[in-house]
Amino acid sequence: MSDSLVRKTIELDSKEESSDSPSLSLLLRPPGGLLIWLVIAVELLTYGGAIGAFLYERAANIEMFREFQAGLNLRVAAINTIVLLVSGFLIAQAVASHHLGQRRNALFYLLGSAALGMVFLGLKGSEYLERYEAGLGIGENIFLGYYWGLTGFHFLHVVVGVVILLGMALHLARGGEWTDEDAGLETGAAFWHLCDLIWVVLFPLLFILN
Amino acid sequence: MRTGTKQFDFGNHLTLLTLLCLTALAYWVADTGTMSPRSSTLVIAAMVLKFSGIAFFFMDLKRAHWFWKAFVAVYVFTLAAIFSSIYI
Repeated sequence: MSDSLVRKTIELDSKEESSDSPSLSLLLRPPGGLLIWLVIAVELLTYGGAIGAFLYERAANIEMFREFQAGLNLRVAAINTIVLLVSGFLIAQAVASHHLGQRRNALFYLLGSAALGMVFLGLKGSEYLERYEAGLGIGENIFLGYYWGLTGFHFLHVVVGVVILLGMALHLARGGEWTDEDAGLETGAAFWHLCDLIWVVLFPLLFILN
Repeated sequence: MRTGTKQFDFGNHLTLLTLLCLTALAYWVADTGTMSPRSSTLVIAAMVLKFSGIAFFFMDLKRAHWFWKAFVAVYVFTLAAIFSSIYI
């Protein structure tokens, strides 16, 4: 009698485990790994706070914000958006190629993605230089403070992202491999997509909506 | 064995095309004159679609746990709601 009870309990426990485990495993293993998604969540929330502060200051200085926003280079920002989106597409293709075992294609896409990241940095860097030479530095007024702060922090992320992409390309070119456990390529790709996500919000906020 | 490009999921290509069209639309709306409530709505909607497209397709969030999908969705819709309350 007690044996059958124990057996039934074990059966029930194993049923509970089998129904809970896949869900928990899925929660703890988002694409790219849990750690990078925690980083993404923290970064997005930090940017959310900074955007909230920007909007709060804008409400108090609306005319000044409109005036300086109109002076920003919308065309370069739009080109930079396209550059980052295509770069994001290429890294997604690199991950897909790697899953299919097409290492050369993955390497090609990785290098293409990194090259476009450098194009973004070049365009943004030249825009920064232009602004700085025109006397529109970070301390000039509150709008420029936020403009430099928000885009500069994003710029640093793109610098780190390009280094990660080049590091992964070098690893792949040397014949290195990633196991499913560490999810290296997907982790780097997730960080690169974070740069896309942030820019997709900054583009309308800083350059379009007024 | 080379598997060729036929095995690719062309979802990424369609996503890219959509994202580029939405960017062009937002640029065109901003470049053609002052922002009306209608054009602001369009730009904010484009932002939500672009954010979701990158997260769910490029980052492959569509195969993740509902918690991560909900996190991204709540985040972008909260931003959109705040932007809408200010700019529309």
